[in-house]
Amino acid sequence: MSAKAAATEATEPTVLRQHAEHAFAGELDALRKADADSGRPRPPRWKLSPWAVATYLLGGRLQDGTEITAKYIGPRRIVEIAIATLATDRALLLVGVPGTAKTWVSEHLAAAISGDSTLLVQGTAGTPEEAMRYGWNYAQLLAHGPSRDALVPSPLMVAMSTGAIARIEELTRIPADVQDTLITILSEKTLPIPELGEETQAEKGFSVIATANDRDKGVNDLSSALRRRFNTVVLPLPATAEEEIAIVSQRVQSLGKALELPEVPAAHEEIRRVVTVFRELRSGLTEDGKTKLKTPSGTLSPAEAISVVAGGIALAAHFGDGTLRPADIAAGIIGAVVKDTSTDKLVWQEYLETVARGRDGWTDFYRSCREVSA
Amino acid sequence: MTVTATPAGPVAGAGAAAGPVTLLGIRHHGPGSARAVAAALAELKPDAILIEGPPEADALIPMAAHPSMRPPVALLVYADADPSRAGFWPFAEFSPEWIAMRFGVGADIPVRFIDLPSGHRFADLPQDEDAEDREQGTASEDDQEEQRHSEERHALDSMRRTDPIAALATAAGYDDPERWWEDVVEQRANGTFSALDSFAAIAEAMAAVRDQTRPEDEQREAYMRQCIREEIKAGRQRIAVICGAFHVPALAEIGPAAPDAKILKELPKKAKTTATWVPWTHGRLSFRSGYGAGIESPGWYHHLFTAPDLVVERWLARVAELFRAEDLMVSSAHLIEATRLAQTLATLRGRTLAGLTEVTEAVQSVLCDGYDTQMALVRDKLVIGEDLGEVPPDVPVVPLAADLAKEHKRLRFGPRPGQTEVKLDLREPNPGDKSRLLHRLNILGIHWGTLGRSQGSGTFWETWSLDWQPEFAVKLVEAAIWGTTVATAASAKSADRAANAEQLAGITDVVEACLLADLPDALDPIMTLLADRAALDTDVAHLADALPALARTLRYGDVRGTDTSSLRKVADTLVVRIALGFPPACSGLDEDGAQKMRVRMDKTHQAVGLLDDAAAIQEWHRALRLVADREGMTGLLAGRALRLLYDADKIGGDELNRRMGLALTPGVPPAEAAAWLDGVLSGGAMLLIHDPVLLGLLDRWIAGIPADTFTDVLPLLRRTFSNFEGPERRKIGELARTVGAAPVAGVAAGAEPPGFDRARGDRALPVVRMLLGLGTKGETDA
Repeated sequence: MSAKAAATEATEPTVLRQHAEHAFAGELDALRKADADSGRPRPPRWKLSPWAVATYLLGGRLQDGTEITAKYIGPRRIVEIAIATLATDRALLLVGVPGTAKTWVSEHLAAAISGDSTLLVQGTAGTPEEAMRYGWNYAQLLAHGPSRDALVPSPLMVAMSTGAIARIEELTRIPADVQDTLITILSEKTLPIPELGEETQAEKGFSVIATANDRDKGVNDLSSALRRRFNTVVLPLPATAEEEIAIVSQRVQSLGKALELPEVPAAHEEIRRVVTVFRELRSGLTEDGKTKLKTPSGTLSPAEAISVVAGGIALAAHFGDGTLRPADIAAGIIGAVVKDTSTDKLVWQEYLETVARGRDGWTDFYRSCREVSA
Repeated sequence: MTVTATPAGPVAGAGAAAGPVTLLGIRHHGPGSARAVAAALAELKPDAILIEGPPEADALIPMAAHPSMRPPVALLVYADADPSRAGFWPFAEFSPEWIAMRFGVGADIPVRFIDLPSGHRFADLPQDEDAEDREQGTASEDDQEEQRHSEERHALDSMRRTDPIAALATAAGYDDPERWWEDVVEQRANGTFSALDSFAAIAEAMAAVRDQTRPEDEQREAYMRQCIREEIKAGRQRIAVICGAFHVPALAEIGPAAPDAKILKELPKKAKTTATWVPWTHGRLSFRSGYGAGIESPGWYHHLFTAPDLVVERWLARVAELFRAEDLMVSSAHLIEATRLAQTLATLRGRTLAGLTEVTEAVQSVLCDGYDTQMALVRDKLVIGEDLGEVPPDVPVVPLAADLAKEHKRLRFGPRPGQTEVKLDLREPNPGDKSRLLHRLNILGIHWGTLGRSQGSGTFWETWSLDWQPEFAVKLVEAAIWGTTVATAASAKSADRAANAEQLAGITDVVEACLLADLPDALDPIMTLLADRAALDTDVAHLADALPALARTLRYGDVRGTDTSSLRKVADTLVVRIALGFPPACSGLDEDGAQKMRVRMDKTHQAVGLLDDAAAIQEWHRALRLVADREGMTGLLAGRALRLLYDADKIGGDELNRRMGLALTPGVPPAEAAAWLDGVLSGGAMLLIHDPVLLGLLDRWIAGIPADTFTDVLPLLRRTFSNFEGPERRKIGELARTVGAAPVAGVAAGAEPPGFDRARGDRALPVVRMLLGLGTKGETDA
């Protein structure tokens, strides 16, 4: 089933961004059916078999002809390790530079395994312990004293009691003392509530997917006690230009649908150009391996390439002639590359003058960029 | 397998030709096959064992059971006429052929090799081909083919020939063929496992896999069938044939002898060969040689073969041990989780047993925080596993190899697996001998040790990086023509190299090597040769190329206490000859030639300095002066000679200024002046920075170049200045800003720059004098 069909089929198309389990409800149903037909075993409380989860993420065609779109384009090995980790009731830690689909993978894993990707704790420098354990409804607490009714469970606690997957975003941004609450949850699989003299024990099927940033290392590095409770998977940057182009065009297409942007055809050439620029600057080497380049301070991840192209499409649709032209992406690409203006600007200008200038078919692009930078 | 026509075991259908034969189709270096062969042989109790291997080595088979034989070892077969034509048949502890050999020798059963004799192949090969053997060649062809078409089909095609069992495993979704073997072949019969049955199953599968053969395969299989016929004729009742699974279908039907005899008749005449056992390494098992089947994870296979049970757990325990030895924290809980992850991954992939891939991924994810930096350690130390085999001392070897073994023992300095570094103090007797041994082996082309680049510092020390390669066994055999001991062989080879050297420099290189290796016997004839050749050689370039090696030898030779007086005589006459020939050789050169000559001039200058002989230095300086003075000399060289003289304090600063003024006058074509300048300035900008007069001259000259020639001169100047260090260039730039305006006050030559503290500077002088070896009292004549 195509992404288009999945989107129109969903019930509430008015929200800006649908949860994975709603956006791809059709695919998940088809996979469930395929599981039932072939009798594949499912771990307790899992909505799909591990095989089906892998197929959901990596894409494929089911026996009944349903086409499953690929959610993650990258090494199969990585998805398999992630799923196997969750199947062994271990917690999963996804690590990578910003924009390598860590959150994306964690959302889809949770959607496929538990049918619910919303049990989410967003890690920030100010994440309190209540966000990991539970809080109190103070009106209730004052009126009736401590009781289960007065307790406000955290997403983690909900996941434990329902046997679902909880997600923690940006684990390393959470202060170390708050991180430590996870240790008991992950090793004893229980959350004590001393105020009530009770505890919430995790149901089978509970696990945690956390994401962390490579670049954030040292912010609040995980203690080795906590790290030991995670299996770690490093999400790499796309290995080849083709892979990255596939990722960008697929995501741009579905984003365009969700944002109801007018159709803009034949963006492939511009996507290739954006990906080429990003890859060359990221690796500090031109595609033919002949010229060394300075690298800018930003990460230039696929996620940024996606937003550059999506922004370009919006420009083309509303202000341009309906075709994605170099001029439409020029502003976006400069915004993505030039982060720290003093050095990045130099990097970009060098790239423009030494690489982009004179490359076959890049004349328009070069000119547009010059106009924008000037 | 049990041949389809007749049941296995004791001959049932005695009339059938294939009756007494049991074929065991194996995977080379496959631990699963090895276990199965052991079980099958125990079950079968054969009265003759035939193994796919070189028949020339038949006599060496009993040595496999020698108590001091420790795999990995290899059979080496080489052509007597040309030992570089050689083939290796490596065996690890987990090689099925090794198991069969030891079984046969232990049970006192005749064991023989039945592959096509290597002699045919060696005769077959063209002279220039570096021949491991024919299969090596075809295997690498396969490699290239695989690279060209990455499609799975092609990969599978080539795998079918070299490793058909791996092809079956791949088709079944396994990427670790040995785990597939365990899973499918060994567990098949639910406990009532019979090795003979499993070989029958493999044979059936092979009949389906084998679709194409090549002429080489047909020749080899014809020979194998002939051998089997001989054994049947000899009245053997239960013949076990251990061969690559690929060959099984061809040996199943023995058929009439006549066609095979015809095939074998067409083979080239056998070359005379010799066979021996040599130590091998695990790392080398991963290369395709001999059997044409390399394995990538010998360490893992060794583990699979030796671990009695709990394969994954034991492997992870070894990983933990390795990490802990490197101070990396690994707890038992880590291992538990890694085991669980490996098993779940295997289940997810539809495999019953976790293979190397799953275990490696689990280790990376659980023990290494997902990163692969530490995984290289696991790969080198465990998956490949450094291990060097041993062969008993009484293995027949060439005298040279025996002498080397004696040296190893005498110096307690034997080959070790992997790369190691040693530091040798040449003043001590034992390290001195070690150094000599390494130098001699290098002369013989056996590069066991590579000398570190620390020659500049203390010359009493040598740093060697050692890495023993099993192929050295062949090199030793090749080198055996030179002599029976390492010393005599190295001497003879050196003499031969010197006699055949095309240029003088070749001879002096040999001289240097001989001195380092302490080969006085070789030195005398070579010195005579050198003197003769130097006298006859008219090309000064050759003479100049020969000098640096000689000068180094003279300078550092006495560290080893060698007598170098005859050498000095040669060197001194060489300098005289060079000094005479140099000036004429410096004129009329094009730009390339001038550049080359400049390098020679610099090197010779350095070498003459090393010789430390007043007469020689004087001769050389005279030559330089001629080059610097003479009109019509190539500008670059004239400039260079002037600079060298200036550096050697033979002309003063004023003279340099005068000459620079002359060279940079408008009358001289700017291009020539630029080349001259390149010669003067290259190799350090200090001259310009510290002499403002020179800089001023240069500045005026550049300003005066006419516009139309300026563009021609610019590249030359750019090249000169681009050789300077960044800070030097900046400094010159800063000075150039002021130099045009007015003479720089206070920075004139010899004067002290502003802010110069003479008292502080004086305090450093005694140390500088000491470093320069000037003693403490003498004043330097600056």
